[in-house]
Amino acid sequence: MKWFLYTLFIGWVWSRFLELMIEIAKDTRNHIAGLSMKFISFLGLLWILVIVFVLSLCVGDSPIGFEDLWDYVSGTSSSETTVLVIRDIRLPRTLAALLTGSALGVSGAMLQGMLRNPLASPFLLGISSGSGVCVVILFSLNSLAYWIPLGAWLGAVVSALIVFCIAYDQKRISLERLILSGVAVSSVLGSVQAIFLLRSDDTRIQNSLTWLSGTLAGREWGDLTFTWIPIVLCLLCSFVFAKQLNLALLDDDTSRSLGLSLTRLRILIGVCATLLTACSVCIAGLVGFVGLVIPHIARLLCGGNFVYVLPFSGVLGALTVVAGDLIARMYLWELPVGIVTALFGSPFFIYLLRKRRMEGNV
Amino acid sequence: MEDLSLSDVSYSINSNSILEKISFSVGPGDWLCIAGCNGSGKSTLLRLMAGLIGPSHGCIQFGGTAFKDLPDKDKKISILSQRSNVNACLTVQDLVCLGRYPYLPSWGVRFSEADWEQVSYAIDFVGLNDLRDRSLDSLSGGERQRAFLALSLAQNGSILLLDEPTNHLDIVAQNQILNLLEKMANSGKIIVSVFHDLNHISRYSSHLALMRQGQLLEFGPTDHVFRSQSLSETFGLAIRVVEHEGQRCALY
Repeated sequence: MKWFLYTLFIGWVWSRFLELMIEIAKDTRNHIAGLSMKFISFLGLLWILVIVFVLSLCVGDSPIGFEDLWDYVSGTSSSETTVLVIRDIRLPRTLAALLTGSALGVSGAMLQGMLRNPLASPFLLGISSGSGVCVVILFSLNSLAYWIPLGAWLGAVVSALIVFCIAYDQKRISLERLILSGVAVSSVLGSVQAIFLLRSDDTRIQNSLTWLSGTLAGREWGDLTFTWIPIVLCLLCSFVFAKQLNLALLDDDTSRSLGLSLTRLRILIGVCATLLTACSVCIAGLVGFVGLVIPHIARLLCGGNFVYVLPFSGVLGALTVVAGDLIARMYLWELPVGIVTALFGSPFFIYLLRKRRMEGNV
Repeated sequence: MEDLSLSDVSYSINSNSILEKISFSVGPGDWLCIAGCNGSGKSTLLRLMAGLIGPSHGCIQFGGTAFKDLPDKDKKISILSQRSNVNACLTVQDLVCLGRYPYLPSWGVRFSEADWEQVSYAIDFVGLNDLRDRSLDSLSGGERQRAFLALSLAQNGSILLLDEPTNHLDIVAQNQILNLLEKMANSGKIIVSVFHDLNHISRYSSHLALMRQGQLLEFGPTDHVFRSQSLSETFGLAIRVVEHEGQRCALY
């Protein structure tokens, strides 16, 4: 009960903060001490991320006080348990949440821009079904847990590759073909996944479903070894694409007359977004909601310019998954983080949309 | 002189001829209008002149250099197509800034003083200064079209290509756009536009190209080409050109 009230309180504070920032961000002429409001909002978000990150290190089955945490950071901690809990359990898990969230937020924003479709998400291009089917097959074959992240990564990359190959025709990639081939490939792989799930026993079904909902339970340093480098590299690369993504907001002819090569952009964004999503899937399974909705919240905060949308999406995504994981850990039995982000995030998003519609902005 | 010239330009898709042996030349300060029925190849001709597609035969040159060898094409040619649209909630200023992107270094997103000056000049030129921070979604059709014109102006190219820029606009907004284009032509740009309103053509353009089924029927100064016989032949309709207070009008 206590944790539930905390959750509601955090949710309320968070919603008030975002609301305030939307109000501020709407007035683009507003400046404080020469700094644009967008920049100040971004710093505010980063600050909240730091707070949630610290909370995430402290909250759990064995609570750790801020003093213990400070002792650990300054290297003067005397309790071996504290060191063990922070270093080997909480820190890798929180970093995993941070990487997953920022990767999904940024790849969602890039794909929505590239596909010119507000309903696009990292899982639209068959990535979720590709990794899903591989993982369900591995679970049903009772394979070693070691292979599951690798299987998820491979499944995601191969299915995205198939979707792009289908859409590539006469040296160009049509957006309609890309989206529709994504839907078609997802349907086929979804059916295969369902067949394997139906043939599995209860324990394996439960394991598979937990993974399919997205979970960070038990993540350790080993899960980040091969994924953090591509995620960080792709996040850095994505900011280089901000300019091209802005041009891609225009119709084909106008954007090409401004020097944009659409096919090259679609391939590069495809590669970058697929790698980001595949790595996040490899860490945490299929965390829904973040890739689809976070870019919209970012746009509500900072407008449509990708120079701002990408960093805002990254930080908001990280914040959502870290906070979601924090909430997921507060209950007696641990919820998968994907369920928490969708459960708490969607009503908030609906509230934001309705508020904007009432103000006549949407 | 930096002329835009087409010599024997043809374009076909899968041996299906869309344009056949088009040749003409226009210079700085000229405003060329292309007129013809739907499907006569006007938009394809514009896309060829924008370098978005390459001709199957013939050559398009700007200032004596063939298009395929033309450096910085994205700084010289602007196009405002029928479908000019933006898929996001950008402000007027954000949209106009896109016109300066060809001038940015490949990795940079920061605009120089000169870029900002050109953006402000373009927004001022089209009279949207009071609306520069407004979202495009909240603008009227005419204001929106003026914002896109400012984008082309910010690009600061020598050639401006427009495909039916006054489509769906009321007569006040149409006049605003046409007067802006006239000012741009007077400042030395080459303007090439497709219009369906023959009276706009007679009032504003300096040159006229009449097209039918992918062929150029006639090309020349508007005063010479804007005649009853040529127009009737182009559109397959009885069109009469009359003069009213020094202005030629087409009746049909």
